Amino acid sequence: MNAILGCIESVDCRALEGGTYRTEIKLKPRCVMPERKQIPEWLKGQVISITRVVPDPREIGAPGDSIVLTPSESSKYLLPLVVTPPLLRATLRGQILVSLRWWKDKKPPELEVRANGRVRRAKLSKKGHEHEAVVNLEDLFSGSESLPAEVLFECDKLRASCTLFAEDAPAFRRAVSAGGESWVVTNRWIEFRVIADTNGAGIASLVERGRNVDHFSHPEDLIQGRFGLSGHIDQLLFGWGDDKLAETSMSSSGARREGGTTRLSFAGTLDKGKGLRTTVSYTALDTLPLITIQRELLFCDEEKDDKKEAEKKPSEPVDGMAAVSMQFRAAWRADGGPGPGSRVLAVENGRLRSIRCVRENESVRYNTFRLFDGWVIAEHPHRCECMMYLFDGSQGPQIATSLNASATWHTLPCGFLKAI
Amino acid sequence: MNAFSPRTFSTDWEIMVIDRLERCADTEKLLAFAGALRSEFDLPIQVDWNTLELALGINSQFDQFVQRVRSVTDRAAQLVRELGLELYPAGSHPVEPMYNSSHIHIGTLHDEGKGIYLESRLMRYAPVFGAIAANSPFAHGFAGQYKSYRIRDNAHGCTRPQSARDPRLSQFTWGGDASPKVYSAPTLEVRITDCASSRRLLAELVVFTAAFVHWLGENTSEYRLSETEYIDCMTNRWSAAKHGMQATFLWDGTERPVVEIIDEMLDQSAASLAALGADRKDLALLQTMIEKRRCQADLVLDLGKRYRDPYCLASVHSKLVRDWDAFDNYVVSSAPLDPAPAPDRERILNEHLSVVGEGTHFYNLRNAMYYPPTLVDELIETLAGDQLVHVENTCRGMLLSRVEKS
Repeated sequence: MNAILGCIESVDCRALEGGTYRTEIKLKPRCVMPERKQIPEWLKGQVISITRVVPDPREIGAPGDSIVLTPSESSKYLLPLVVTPPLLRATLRGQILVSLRWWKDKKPPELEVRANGRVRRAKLSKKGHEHEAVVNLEDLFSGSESLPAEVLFECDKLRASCTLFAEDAPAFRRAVSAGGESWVVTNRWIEFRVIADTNGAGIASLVERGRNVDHFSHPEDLIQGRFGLSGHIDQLLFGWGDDKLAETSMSSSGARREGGTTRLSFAGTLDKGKGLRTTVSYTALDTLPLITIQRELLFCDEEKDDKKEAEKKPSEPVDGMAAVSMQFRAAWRADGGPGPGSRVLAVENGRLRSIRCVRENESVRYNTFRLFDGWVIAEHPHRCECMMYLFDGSQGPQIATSLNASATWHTLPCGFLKAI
Repeated sequence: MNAFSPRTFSTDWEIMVIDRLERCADTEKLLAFAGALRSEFDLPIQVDWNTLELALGINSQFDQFVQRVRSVTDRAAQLVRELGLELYPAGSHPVEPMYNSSHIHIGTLHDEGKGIYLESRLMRYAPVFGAIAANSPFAHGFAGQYKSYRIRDNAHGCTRPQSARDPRLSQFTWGGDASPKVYSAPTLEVRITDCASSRRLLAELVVFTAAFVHWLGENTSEYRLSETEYIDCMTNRWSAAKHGMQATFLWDGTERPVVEIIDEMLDQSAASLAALGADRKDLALLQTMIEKRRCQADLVLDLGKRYRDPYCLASVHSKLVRDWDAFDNYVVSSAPLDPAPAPDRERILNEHLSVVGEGTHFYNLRNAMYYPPTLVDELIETLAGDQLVHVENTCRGMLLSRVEKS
């Protein structure tokens, strides 16, 4: 979850009974944590406010100081336009609730509803501190249209969508929220979401439809990057640890149905000067809860720079060589509470091996433990979830696993299991 | 004759510096501030990993030291503020992989051999200083189970449990909890102490540590630790990291709350304190910590109950400690805490068992309480004998897996 870092404009502090202080803090958003990225357009130049009750007002700071908001304090500012539900199945009937949780002006902007090739306007009415509108699908669809379909809501520069899928039929669709775009693939077994604006396009959620469980769920109250503590991402390491994919944003290069599968493809540039590009495809099978992942690293022609060519020093073949390692990282919430919890299962030298990290910040990496059998399972027995990875064992990739602490300070062990 | 002559003391205080995007200023930038302070004060102020290292020169009197601490930190805070930065004195950062210390230097020691015997005598007391200074309950990847993760994690190799040394048979090893360090400033250096967030606590702790070590320095004869003493030292080191001022130590065959031991040490070092221009009544903050069994980590733990996210916690903590007296006020107004029991055999076994998951390399147990190899191997045998762990010898070494009883 992201959160706002802001610059304090003013602090209004009032003593309460019991020795605490109610502080109303006005601040100008400066960046979005944890990556300290640019704030969204709608927050630029704005002053927002939060309230905290504290025992010592010095912990808030003074005008000019920075302050980090919690994810819940930040939520309505970073995701002001919310659609409920964001996904509907097997119907073109019903209601969608659109909530504008914050706006810079007292009067909300117009709400445009785009669906079925038409644009309509809806009125946002004040409800408490927010504005809401209820949209009837019957007003947008006659009922004879095919699924999937999309209802897109636009409010000034804010966009959010409700995606309509059939119950079990395999399908794919783009989804939109104030946090950005994602691509959703669904079938009778699973529904997964790919986010492509970072980490070379990774899987941010993977819902097992039978139990409506997201295997890549993460706590909402911790500031983390997109894939900080959950999800599947690939990594392309150059040398000791420079992951070129970490900052790489990808573009969708299409989605299609083919031969009983649904396939999403993405492409992106790793290093324009060096001609490095990457593609990834995620393909969901209709008949099994299985996703195939194909990642390619392409070495294309380098851009020629005549000036640099003229100044180039003599070189040897090794100077043009790059040591590249391709790996994937999958991360899940670890089982909490006492007793045996999350673990990784694989075969080592013909024997089933289980690795379970238990200590905060424990990590395991064995250069000699190579996965020649071509599979590894991450199991979370307390919540009855597991995920199996299958791959080409002939290259014998190495396994590494680690357990990191979460912010639930007083329960243990609760953390995140990463398997690489 | 005392090992220390003349009697002096100082500190290297490693302080983070953060900007208004809540980033730690890196070493390259901090070189400028260190250079300016070094010139202004003629003190060997330098930088360490992403910290200003305020080395406060040679001091012989308590008042001199207090004044120096105040003037250097006031000026450092003023200088960094000119570029929108703030000092953030803490034993760890909740997000960044940083551990910081207030090393304590006790001078003047020229005889390394005597220093090594003193190191052995001091080994049982190092955890006491660690308990007083505990100030790192949240660190990169760690959350609230220890009052000093810096000690528990050996500060990424920068403060490590000592081995018992014989000056006739040993080499210098850098980074021990407390050891002579005569190759640079001729002192004995105590490294186990977490970075202080309070100027007052720093001054009191430094002069107390120096006075006590000076008192110990009266005896420069050969000293060899027994195996039991050494193991008790490691147990107490673990207790100090875990419980801070609530710890109960194994002491001369009995169990003693660390606050009682500190009280006794203060009495023992009365004359040495006087030689440094201090009196027990000058150490009022330390006295309050003894009465309340609280350390700086407790303030941070209380903050952590309200700010679950480590970025938010760092943001509020850094602002709170800016005025230097947040902990001083906190400990005065807080209720006393109860002592934690000393670990018995069962607790020690459970602590080692807690490190075992499945396929756990046996060497992980070395880090549970930093016991010597023979004792850890014996504990593994006990756990295996009690059928609490399954042992398997593989090409990667011995692997242990917990046996869950149904």
